[in-house]
Amino acid sequence: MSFKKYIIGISAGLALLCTTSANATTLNKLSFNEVVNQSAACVVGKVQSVESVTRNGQVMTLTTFSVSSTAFGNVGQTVTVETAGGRSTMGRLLVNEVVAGTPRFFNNQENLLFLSAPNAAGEYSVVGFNQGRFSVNPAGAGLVTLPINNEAELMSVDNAFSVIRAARAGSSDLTITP
Amino acid sequence: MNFLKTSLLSTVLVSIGASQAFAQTQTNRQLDSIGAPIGTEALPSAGGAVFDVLPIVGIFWDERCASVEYTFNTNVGANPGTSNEISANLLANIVQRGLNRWNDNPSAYIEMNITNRTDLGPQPRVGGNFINEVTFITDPTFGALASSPSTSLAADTTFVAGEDLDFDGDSDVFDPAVEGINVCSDVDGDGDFEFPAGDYLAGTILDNDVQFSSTVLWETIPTVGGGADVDAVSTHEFGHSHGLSHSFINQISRVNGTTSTMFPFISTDIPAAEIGTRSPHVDDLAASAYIYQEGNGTTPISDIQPGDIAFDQAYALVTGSVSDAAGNPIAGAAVSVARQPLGRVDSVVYSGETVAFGDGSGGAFVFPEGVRNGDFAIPAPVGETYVSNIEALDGLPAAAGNISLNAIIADILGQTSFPEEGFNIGDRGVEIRPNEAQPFVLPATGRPRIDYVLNTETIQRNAGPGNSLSGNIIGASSIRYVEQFDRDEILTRFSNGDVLIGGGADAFLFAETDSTLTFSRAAIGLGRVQNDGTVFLARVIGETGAILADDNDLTPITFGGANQNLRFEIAEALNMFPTAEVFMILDIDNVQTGPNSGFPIGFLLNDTTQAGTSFLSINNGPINPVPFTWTMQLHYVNDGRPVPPELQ
Repeated sequence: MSFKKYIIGISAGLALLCTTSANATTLNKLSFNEVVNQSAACVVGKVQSVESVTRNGQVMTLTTFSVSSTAFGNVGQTVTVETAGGRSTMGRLLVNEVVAGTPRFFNNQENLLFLSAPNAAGEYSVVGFNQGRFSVNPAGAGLVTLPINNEAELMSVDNAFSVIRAARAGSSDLTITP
Repeated sequence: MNFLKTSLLSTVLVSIGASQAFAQTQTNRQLDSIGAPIGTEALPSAGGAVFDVLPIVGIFWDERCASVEYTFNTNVGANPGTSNEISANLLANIVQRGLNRWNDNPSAYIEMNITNRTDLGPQPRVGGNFINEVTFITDPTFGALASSPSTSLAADTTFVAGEDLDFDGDSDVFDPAVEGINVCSDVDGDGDFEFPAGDYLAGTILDNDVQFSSTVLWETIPTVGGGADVDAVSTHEFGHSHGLSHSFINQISRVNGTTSTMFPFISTDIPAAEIGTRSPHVDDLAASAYIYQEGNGTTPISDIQPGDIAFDQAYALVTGSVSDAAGNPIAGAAVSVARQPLGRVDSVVYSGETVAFGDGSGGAFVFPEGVRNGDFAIPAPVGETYVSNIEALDGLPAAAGNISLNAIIADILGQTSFPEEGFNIGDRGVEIRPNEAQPFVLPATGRPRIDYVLNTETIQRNAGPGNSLSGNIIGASSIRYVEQFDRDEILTRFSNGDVLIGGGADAFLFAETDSTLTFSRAAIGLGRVQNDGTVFLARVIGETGAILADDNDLTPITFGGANQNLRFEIAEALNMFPTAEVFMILDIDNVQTGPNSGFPIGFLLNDTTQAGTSFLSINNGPINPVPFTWTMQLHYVNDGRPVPPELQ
């Protein structure tokens, strides 16, 4: 098993080990801390445009976000994210290329995104596919739900950034001695 | 239900002149896509602006094309040039073995086979060319182990004989009367297949490829080393080729901690998990059979053959809806039925029907009006006893984005955050026993009706959101977790009419094991913190035994006894003894050791944000304080009834 271990002690005098897991059929299953720490940037952005292109016979979707705030990383005022699948035409036919588990976005929708480093064209991808994408809920006064401590934690973007920065700083790897 | 016939009827209506297209009925377990506009609607939430209505359509193979033929690209095998190289022919054999397991589903008429092994060249797959390709060649930037992209129609369409759909220079549509067949076939023998002329629904899959990453270490026999098992991954991906979305089942039963085949994730370094994934779970087979119902079609492929079991004989539907306490429909809720007594989850669907909205320029938007209903229909084997359960797609163990567009729309609208609950007759918005599900028998005829109303709960807890520290205790044969809750808050809640209904705890199971974790007991304890910092438990009330922990999710905890009475006992003790405190207790007896690491298989997550309320006893020793906080919580409801005088 590919888990990390952090030895700590507790008052009972026994050791605890910190672990993360696991892998996936189509992609790696990432813990929240892994999502945070595998990302080059974390932003909140609103979808400006969604465009599909065909590259090497495969349909890809380019979604451009206007960035409203950044938890970490250096990004511009807009970022473009590339995802597999999307809408295209086949002659007179309007068709969709559907790929399970790939992030899909709607116009004007606000998202908290964990982004990988951009490719040569300056396009980003979402870390862990959907694992690095969280909707900022317009009906919930801008709240976002993050999966922390096995709980779905509904919180403000500001609080989310605090949690993310703490995870980024590695505080979850804290060593505690008796 | 015969949705296919219903949908075909809709197509006829279109063909006689209606301007609106009709989408295929969603089974709520299909991959989906945004369809072409089916009308316009003025949206109050957008100030009355008029938008196009864009249906969310499930993808599927038309019955005429449901004997799906694949071409395996033999240009290269797996792990080429290494000592672990696997030949293309062996890979094709393995893939076909997985397809055979899907094909053996006796109540689904769809079948998939590799009918051609050809060198298609060294390039990655090309979508939409009417060659269903299986390949181990991917673009260097391909970021997954494998994927199964399907090209599908966005609108109901009529294919005309002789038509060149993909503009590759030859016809893709033939006249069934001329050819004497009415099924997809390579009638001109040029390597791609052609469609019989006729009407096809939005969502119809025109082409499907399955691509396995060029950069992954592939295995034919699963090992702990971390390579990916070709058979397991292939069986999963071809589930998507059927049109199936991911399932929500990461723990098959009380005694089997493996996932269903269509769960989004699997540990590729746990051989037992990979081997388990190779065989479609009963839920996966039910989802496929619901789309491709044996005995309910209109062409010979759906006729009952030797070995087939008609869908209507094998399965029945549990129908129902999900709404919140205010009556608003809820989409994207995971509704399951689990067979008793082992609690094997036999079927999962996701509630609701949604639409998106278009502005005419190609943009797609989400507005609250997009949730059309919270309905669902769960196919499950007939004659068995089940309980039903509902969970939010909140990321634990899977997120809306892992499932479908339908679920993503629900997530954007804030509908994927609610407490888990079981179904009881008379389900309502304030329940004091939300997790005690009522068993029912699924008859061969008739449809049990389950209408969920989400429970409105409030939570008392000491930590979070914060930083998790996953820990494990070495050398323990029994563990007692104890969490102290603020007595003043409890008394205030009781005086406000809150009823303590249970709690929650976050367990972590080592992914290397396929076992499950059961808390031996949960209870409320009354006692005090002694001068040396340890806890003295004077009395235990509301004890419940054998609580199955949810892997990678909050485990609902139910305290035994009458919930209405717990608060009286607690309030009486707190008022009588000023130093008395309330503790939640979770025990694990007979701690099992994980198979590979030697560490126990499960433990409680903890939070590092604060300390002072959490305690631990190992091997029946003293209940000592620990320098962090267990992620344990108490849950309350308030139905607005008058507060009894002794609680005021």
